[in-house]
Amino acid sequence: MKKRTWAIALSAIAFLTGCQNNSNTVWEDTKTMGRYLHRQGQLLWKKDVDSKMIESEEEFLGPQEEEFIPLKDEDLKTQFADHSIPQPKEVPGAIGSSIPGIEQFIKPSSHLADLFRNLYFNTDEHTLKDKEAYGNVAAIAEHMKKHENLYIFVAGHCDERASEAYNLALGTRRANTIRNLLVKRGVNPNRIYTISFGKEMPAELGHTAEIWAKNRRVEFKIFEKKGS
Amino acid sequence: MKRSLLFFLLFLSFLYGEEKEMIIPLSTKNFLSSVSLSPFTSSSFSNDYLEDLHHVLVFDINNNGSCYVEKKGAYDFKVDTDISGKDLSATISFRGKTTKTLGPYSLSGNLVADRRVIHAFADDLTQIMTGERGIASQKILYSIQFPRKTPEGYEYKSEIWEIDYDGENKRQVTHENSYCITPVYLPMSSSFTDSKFLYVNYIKGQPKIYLGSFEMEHGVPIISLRGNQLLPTVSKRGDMIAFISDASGRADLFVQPFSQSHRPLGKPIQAFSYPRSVQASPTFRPDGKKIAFVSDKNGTPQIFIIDTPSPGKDSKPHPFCITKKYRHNTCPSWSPDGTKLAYSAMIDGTRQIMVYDFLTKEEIQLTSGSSHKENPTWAPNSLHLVYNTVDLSSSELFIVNLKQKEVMQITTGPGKKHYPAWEPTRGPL
Repeated sequence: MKKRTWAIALSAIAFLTGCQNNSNTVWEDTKTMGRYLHRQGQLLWKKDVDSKMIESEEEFLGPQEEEFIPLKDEDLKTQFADHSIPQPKEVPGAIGSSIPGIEQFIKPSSHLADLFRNLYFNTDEHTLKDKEAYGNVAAIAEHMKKHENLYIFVAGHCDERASEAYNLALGTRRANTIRNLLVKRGVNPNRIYTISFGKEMPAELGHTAEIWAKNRRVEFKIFEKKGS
Repeated sequence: MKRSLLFFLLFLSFLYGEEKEMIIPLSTKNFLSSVSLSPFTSSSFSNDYLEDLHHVLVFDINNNGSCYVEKKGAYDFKVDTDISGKDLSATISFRGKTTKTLGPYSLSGNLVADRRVIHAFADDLTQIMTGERGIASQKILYSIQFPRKTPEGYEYKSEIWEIDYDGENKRQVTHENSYCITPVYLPMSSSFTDSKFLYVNYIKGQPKIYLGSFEMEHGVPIISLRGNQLLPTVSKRGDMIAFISDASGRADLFVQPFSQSHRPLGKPIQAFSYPRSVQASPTFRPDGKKIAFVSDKNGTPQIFIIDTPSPGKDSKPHPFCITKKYRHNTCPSWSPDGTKLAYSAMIDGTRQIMVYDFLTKEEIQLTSGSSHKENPTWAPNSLHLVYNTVDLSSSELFIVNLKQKEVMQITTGPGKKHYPAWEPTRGPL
């Protein structure tokens, strides 16, 4: 009796799921056909539909196609524990780039100065120091989502205690932590660039715990892209 | 039974787990050969000029890591110099028996040029006396940072400079008006006249690896990879560059195959990545088959070794940690003879230069004192090291060798001097 009940229940689920998939597929096909017919109609009236032939593999795969030979997935260990987001492919200031070099990015002033204020970290940590700082990141994300032409540099800095070379690498981790938080809150990753300065550029010179705390930071620079 | 096994294991750990006291084979002139050096005499140059040149030669012999000039008493080598016209030559005898000749070397009367001649003479002399060419002719690249106080805070600029190993002939080699750090020479075959080097340049914002030339004030970016590119190092043959990049979103180790015409070959290869960790400071084994680098994947920064990846080669990276004694180990540099690895370790709150000996698997402390010491790199003879201190008020470059305890400061003056790199010997790649 029990077996029969289970068999009926499973069959019903399979049937209903199948219907669901089928109806979804039909709906997607209908939408695709509709878009196609709409575009053909526009072409008949010689309207520009902004379409063109894909000319390269890179265009087909999109901007995030790997420009390096990656490790195999099994060698990358548990990605879910440390979600990494590839850097924007467009290099600021490079020849042909629509984003200028950092010389045209500015330190936010007036009403934006408070929003893009420095964020601070604990010693040898890449997580933010307090809850307020996370709120600040959320506010930056909201602002960036409202201003789609805004591009930012996130510069990671360290205090003087670890070695110079190690700190250069550690600074990337801090900058990328902030970048990841912004992306998770819906900001386009191609608008956020990271820099690591390690301990090369302390905000304050000195050798006390207070000064170290002020130097373990990320700083922001912004650029408003015009005409896009 | 279980209790017996436990006692046995405890006994074994007592036998093998005990920390050994290291004896550092440094200092004392017992390891060194004594040299009797005749003064320079010539009617072609003034006595003061000849004395200056003689001082250079004495300095080079005293700092070649194998010999010292003995003014009185017994000696192992006797060097009789002769300057005929403007040509310097020498006769070298070993304990009054074997005799070899050296020279002639043309002197010009120009001190800068003649210093180079004397350095070359000293290197050849070292070759005769020790069987290994000296390092007096080699130069050192490094960065100098100049902070400037502005109303908003501090503004920092840094350029690449070059200096002779003895601290003379300091000259600026980049003029980027930017922030340039971590230079490294590209190995050269003897036929190459246009020497090149790599460095990291922040001119556009993100740090990128640039190819610099001593004839050009500005370099060019060479690696097409998004994100930060940091801490480049070059294999001994010059066919690979290893560096750190966050192209994937993490600070990973990358390897870029490189041609002798200074062009990247194919795409960079992601060599090592680990969640929630930072990779830093790669250095190649001289045969190029292994890379040592820093990773904090186990907590604190330690030095690991992996096989060098290559395109099409299907191998998993299995990092092997070699630093066991101290917790905070960074800046590894593999010696050109492949037998040693220098690095910086935190010892009693101060970063000191350590040497890991691959033959004995021992970690040997090379420096002491209160200054932090970082970024050691080897001279071509695998005997000398240059490193920088990081003090409260300044950062300077120092040279030390494995046979002599005394360190030698080679820089002074304003600015923070750091990230030194020793010029490799020219020769077949």
